[in-house]
Amino acid sequence: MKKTNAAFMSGVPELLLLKLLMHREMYGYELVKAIQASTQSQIDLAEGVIYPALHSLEQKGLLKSRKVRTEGRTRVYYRTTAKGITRLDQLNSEWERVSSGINAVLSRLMPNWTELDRDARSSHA
Amino acid sequence: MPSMNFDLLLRRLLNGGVRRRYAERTVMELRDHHDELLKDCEARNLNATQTRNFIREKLGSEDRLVQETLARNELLSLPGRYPKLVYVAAPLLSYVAIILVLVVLLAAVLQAGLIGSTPNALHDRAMSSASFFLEYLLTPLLVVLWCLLAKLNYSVLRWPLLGILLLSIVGSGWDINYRIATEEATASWSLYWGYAFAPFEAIQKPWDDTFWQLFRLILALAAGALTFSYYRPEFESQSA
Repeated sequence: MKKTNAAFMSGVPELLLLKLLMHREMYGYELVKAIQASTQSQIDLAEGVIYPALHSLEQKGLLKSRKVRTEGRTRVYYRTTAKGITRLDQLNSEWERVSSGINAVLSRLMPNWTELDRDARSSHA
Repeated sequence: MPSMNFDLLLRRLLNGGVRRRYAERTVMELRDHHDELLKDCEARNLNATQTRNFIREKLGSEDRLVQETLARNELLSLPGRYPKLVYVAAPLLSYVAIILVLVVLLAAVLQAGLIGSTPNALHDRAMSSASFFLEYLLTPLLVVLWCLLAKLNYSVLRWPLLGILLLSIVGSGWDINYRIATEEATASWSLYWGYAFAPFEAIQKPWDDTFWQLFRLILALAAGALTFSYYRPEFESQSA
């Protein structure tokens, strides 16, 4: 599968991680699966980079972790903190603002957009 | 066989300045992730090459992982964030601070000797111990301390080596002369810093000031070289 564009995705992993970990604690692999399931595999990240992102959120106090010994190895479970939930609300409203702006440009505010678009395409053809 | 060299990855993270706690935990979690992906591959009956490629594709390359981690300042240690400050400026500044404190103490000891009506052997001992510490022990001690810090943090050697070289040069150039007050003469002392840069003279006239200066420089550098060579802190990539 083609990897999701990194620059476009700036800030999105943080939003997804905080949201998914708000409801229940999860470890890295479980989280990756949850991201794939909840986004219907539309967002595909290099799975390894989830760990620096998790550690960074933990360092900022947005996540907390606990270690669990399982099947002879140590697994780290993460969960969103109260501070993380506040940050999530902030990110959520930012995301909604940006996406509604983009949607407006793409559809609603430009009634003759489709016509202009067709003209531009035909001039490039 | 793992699709990723975890020990090498850990070393690269530590060398890059990532805090030991996070570097070790990243590798521990990646190992766990790797094992889970391996189970997936087994369930899908993939052969060894397909498994390796699949895991590599999923986890991402080591370069990418290192880049992503190093890009997050909050995961870096203080030496990782400010290597010049920690390894070059800090040893020199601490050295200067200690020297200043010692000079004040030496002056106080000498002043006490001046006030006393009779020459005091205790003052003489205090002065000689302090000047010995300042001339011969302080620099090697600081050099060893900063070498240990660099080794413990797995820092790349460029800045620690520069810091240690500068510290050795600055710390070995002292020459302290003092005289305790006697019934015949008053107390006096002087503190000089500078290099004669006369190695041949040091060889021809051993045991004079130039010789001891060179000896102190070699002593400090040897202390650093020995610490770098023999001290190897263990790191743990299996579990945190």
